[in-house]
Amino acid sequence: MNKEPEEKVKVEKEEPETMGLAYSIEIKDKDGKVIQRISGPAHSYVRQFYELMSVQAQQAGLGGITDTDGVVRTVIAHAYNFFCYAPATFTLYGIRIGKGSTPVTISDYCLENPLEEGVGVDQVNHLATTRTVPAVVGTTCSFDLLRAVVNNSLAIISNIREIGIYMRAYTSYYLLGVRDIVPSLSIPIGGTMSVKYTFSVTV
Amino acid sequence: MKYKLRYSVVVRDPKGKVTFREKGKSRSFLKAWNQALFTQITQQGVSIVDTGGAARTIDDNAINFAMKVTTVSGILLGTDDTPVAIDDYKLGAEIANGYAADTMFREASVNTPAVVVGNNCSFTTTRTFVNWSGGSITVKEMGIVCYFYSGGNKYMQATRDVFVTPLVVVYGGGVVAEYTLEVEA
Repeated sequence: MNKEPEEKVKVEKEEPETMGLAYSIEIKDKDGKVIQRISGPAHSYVRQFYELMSVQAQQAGLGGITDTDGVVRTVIAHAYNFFCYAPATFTLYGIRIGKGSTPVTISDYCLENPLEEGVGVDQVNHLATTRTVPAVVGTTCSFDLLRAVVNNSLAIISNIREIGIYMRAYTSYYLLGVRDIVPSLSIPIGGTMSVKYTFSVTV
Repeated sequence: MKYKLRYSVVVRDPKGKVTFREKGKSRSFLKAWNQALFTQITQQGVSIVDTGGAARTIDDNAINFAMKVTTVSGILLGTDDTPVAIDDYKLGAEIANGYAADTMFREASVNTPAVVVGNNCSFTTTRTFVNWSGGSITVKEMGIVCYFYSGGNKYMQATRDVFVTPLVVVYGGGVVAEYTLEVEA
């Protein structure tokens, strides 16, 4: 009579996270002098990022995805999914900043109080996005996505508390992929604020 | 960091009894995964080494990241335990699909769409492998192969993990392998 094999081992392997996202922010005055730098790990991919990844992985449409206007959409696999390399002045997708300070939740679908494009009160001019291509250093592969905004209004813009990434989806939907709360920041008149996100994987 | 990849494997004997389990955090998104994400984010092609070892320029495309059910994509198993390197482009020694010696039959992948529970959003891909080879097979690695587009559909090694303990799968037994991708705000 054969003896049935028994369940032998149960292993819990706890390892460091392998996919990272970090941000760094640099603020310059009107003369180009750096007046503030902060950086840290980004904490806040939100649900739309994973919903998009799910759509791509499964090649199946997924409903119930909320766009940045609060409209519920169905998204299918598409070449535009995740695109956020925004040109100058463009705010439908790309890195954005805002004045909202409510803590991030998984279901956030837009910045709480994003700064709009322009030269009016609490408006900024968004410059074109720049990037670095993925590069391997040691056991990490990473790339950067960077965008600067310029305060061409007539007043200091203060109490900037949030940054994030708006992504394009399908042909013309726009989704929040990342949102982070940062310490209160100000951009002087004529000054610039640059936000850089670094996407990395480490084995 | 709140972006996680977890894996689990369950080994069963021919009668369906569980003989082994292992689960943990995956260490191993690979270079190709980040390159594909870069291309989708920026619409700029970069050179990715496919699972055949050929360098190909990826284009932004609807097929990128697909883990569709074919014999060459989705979760795959292997017998090599070489430590994972960031530029691995294939499993060390993939177990081929089939019924012959040293092969395992790959069943269709089962995917769940992204769901939100509390402050967590996740989706899973699961695949069952059955050993009809006539002998035992020792499995030491697993990974995900995804599609990418480069003038046609190609394949990239997106993840690779080496098990803490090799899995011994007896003739007639099987393995259920699962990856869970999740984000927590």
